[in-house]
Amino acid sequence: MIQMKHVEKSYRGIPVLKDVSFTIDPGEFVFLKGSSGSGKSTLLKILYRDIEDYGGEVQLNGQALRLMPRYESRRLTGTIFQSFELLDRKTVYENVALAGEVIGRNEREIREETMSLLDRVGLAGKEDRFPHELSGGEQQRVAIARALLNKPLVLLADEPTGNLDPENAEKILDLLKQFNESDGITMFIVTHAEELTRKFAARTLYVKGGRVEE
Amino acid sequence: MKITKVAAPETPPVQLTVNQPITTTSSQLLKYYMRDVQEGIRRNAGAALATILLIFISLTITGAMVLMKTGVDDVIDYLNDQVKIKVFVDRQVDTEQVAEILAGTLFVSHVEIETRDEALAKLQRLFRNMPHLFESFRDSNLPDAILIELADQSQVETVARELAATRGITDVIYAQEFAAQVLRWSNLISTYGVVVLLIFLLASVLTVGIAMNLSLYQRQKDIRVKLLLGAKESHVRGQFLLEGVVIGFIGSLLAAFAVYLIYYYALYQLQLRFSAVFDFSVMSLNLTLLGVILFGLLIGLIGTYRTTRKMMKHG
Repeated sequence: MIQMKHVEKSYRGIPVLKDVSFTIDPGEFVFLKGSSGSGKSTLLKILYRDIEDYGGEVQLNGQALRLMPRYESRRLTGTIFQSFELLDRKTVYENVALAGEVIGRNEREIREETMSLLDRVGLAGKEDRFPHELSGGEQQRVAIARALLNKPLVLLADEPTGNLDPENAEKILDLLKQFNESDGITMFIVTHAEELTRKFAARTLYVKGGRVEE
Repeated sequence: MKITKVAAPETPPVQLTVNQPITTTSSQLLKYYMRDVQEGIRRNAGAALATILLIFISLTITGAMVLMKTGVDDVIDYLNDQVKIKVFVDRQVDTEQVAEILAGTLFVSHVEIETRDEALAKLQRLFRNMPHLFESFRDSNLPDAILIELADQSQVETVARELAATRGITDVIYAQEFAAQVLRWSNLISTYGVVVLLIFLLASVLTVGIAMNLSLYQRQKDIRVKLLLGAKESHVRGQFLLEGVVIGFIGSLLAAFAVYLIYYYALYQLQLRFSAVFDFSVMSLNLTLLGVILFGLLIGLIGTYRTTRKMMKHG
């Protein structure tokens, strides 16, 4: 599903990632850990095409990432962030439906799948609320529903529990694990929450000194 | 491992099977973008309104000036006629022969003959609202005339006096100093008006750019989120271009309406009163209105294009 071969990235001559190579198979649930500034987010940014100037090769679903149009690779990946990145003026429903709208999906199909996804993330009945009317955990659930609406192959999560209390953080990881097991969506989660992730039997990669280790 | 219990859905849950095909249509996309354009203008109402106002002012002035230029050209034509010396010759004398002699003199730069039919055509325009007066001219024995342009306009009175004293010339009508002055001013206005027009049009393009910059700044997060969700860059940019075009269209439509009012309540009334001087055709009015609307669309498009050019690279 994801393959990195000898990936390198520097900022103003200072190397952040050095010769990074690893593979994530379809359906895997993988944590990427490391201390602050270790290059975890940089690695994820390469995958969701926020960073384009790097060395080495990255493949997504067997295709070289560089050769794919940016919008095309982003349709294969769903992304969630620590800061949720929800649009304040849109309701919960509108935030989730936006994912379908920007790629021109059918309105009826969007409605049905949005409602079903909101149900699955535990937000049924809150479709008309605005993000500021929700708790942090609920906002992240909206972001998850939005990221999953277009049925991505892989969900990239950049510190998804960073803004949540331990209880809500665990619920969010539970939810991601649930989607991984029932729907076969590959999960690649960047985190530094050591204690929390220990509760999950999952493959873990570590970024240390710019290199990735198992 | 602990699994959080999720509320049971009332409808069967969507299975997010990977690689499951998704139906997308361009018409749906267009519908969403039109809605977003509307929302974008509404959210950015202040800047949009200011831009519409400036486009309206610029294009109203532009349109009115274009129409007035037509009027000024009419005045110039009319005055050109007036600064010429008009000479009527005796019916026994050959008009063409006299014209040839006059053309050979030093003080004359150009000579032309105005036939009876041409004179009647002018009079018909002059008396278009008073046909009974025109009829009296048509029945009269109107002679051919010679129109003389002088090499030195300041000599007009002296030359006119000399011509009047010449045998075979029955009548001399010559220009006034006033006409020459007005002609000079008309030419100046006509030339510098183009510069003023260009300044206004440039200001409109820049204002649209500023308004769109503001709009983009307010919606940086929206743009970023849309691009992250897989929107095509050209579509996101297209939405802003469409916003610019809509703003330009509204401004230009209002301007076209204002130009029409200026035409109807000022220029057309002027034409009714001075029909010998002004001749605003419906065709030139329609072309001006069409030009105003096309310019508005273009201003919106260019202003937004410049602003959004670099935006997508940071999405």
